[in-house]
Amino acid sequence: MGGLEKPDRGQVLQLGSAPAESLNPLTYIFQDFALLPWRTVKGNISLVLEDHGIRGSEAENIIADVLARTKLSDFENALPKQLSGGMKQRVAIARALAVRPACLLMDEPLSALDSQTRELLMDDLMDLWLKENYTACYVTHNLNEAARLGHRVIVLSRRPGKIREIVDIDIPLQDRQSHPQLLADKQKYLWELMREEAMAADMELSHV
Amino acid sequence: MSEQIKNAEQGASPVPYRGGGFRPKPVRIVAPILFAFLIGFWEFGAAIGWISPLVLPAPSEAFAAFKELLNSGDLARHLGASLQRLIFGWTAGSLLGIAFGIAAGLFTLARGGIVPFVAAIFPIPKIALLPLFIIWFGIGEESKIATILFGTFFPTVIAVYGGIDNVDRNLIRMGQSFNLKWWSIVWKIILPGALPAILSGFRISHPLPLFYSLRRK
Repeated sequence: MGGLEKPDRGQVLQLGSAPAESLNPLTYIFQDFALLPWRTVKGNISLVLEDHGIRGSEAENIIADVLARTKLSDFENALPKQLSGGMKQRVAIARALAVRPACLLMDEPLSALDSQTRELLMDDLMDLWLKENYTACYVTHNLNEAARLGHRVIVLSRRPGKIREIVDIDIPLQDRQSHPQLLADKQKYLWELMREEAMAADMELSHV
Repeated sequence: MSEQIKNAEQGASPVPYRGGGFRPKPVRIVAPILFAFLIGFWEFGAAIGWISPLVLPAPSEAFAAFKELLNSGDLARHLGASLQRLIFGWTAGSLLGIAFGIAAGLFTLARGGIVPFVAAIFPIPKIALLPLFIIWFGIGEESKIATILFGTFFPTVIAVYGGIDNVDRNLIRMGQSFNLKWWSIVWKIILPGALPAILSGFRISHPLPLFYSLRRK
């Protein structure tokens, strides 16, 4: 979807044009964070601004803003290797926010993290959304993430990936924690959809 | 002690430690001792006539010759000339190596040309090319510098394009996903990422010219 792979068939279309203030409409957040290890937190964010000619105080303002939104203000001069996995992903999120994306493409952003950190970051992503709504396409294998964060869940079949079903979750994000039963039902339903597929995929030899 | 007894009463025995090993530690004193021992053995062998002075002069004789050279001022002159050649040859070889290595790391066409060429020439001992260089460049400085330059060029090319190949593809994809310019990706992601490999290439290549100039003597 982000234009990094060539589709085997068909094409990805984008309806309308992105808002003018968006520097990079389709912005990735990677599973492995993809931070430059030789740049500080601040340097990693300024990397993506430099090419748009944003330097000096303008860049400083954007960096300060996104670091504040991801609660990283105290770590602007830390190097990635000094940070925990969760912090690294927050830096990557801050970097993505810095270019004011029209749509965030999150490629299993939490799957490299341990489950406690994952919980915390899910809350962070939710807070971020509640403060300032954004559009995101979030790919995950984790049903809990899908049920907690998604508004519309698209269940894909195993290879070749086809759409199996589209499930809307119309509970407001902030209320989901207080309705655990509703959420559990949704999650169970999703799991029923995927169960057989997952079992078959487990048995499959990969043809690489 | 009492803990051991208690364990034994309960029929429990500690699990033996079986990790460890496979991690040689550097010990500074071993090398000088070994070195002194070898020199001593050599001197001793020469003194009692095991080692003919024609084949291998005793260390004491070599040292005497060294002092003579030092006193006459020949040594300083030769050393200066050698050092100049070394620096010039190594710098030029490294710069050319970096340029060709980067080209081979980034462009398909350059890679197709450079890599087989380097693979073919690299294993040839450069000293074997010396007669050729003497014919091409004459017996003077040029042929000597050319040997050193050749000697540093090939390992550097290999280190540089190998380093570029090993840059994390995900970082490059990240650069592309943020729409960085081609030049920015090379300058800010690929080259810094390849730098450790390039520097370790220098570590291999910088003593090489010493050999080349020694072997010429």
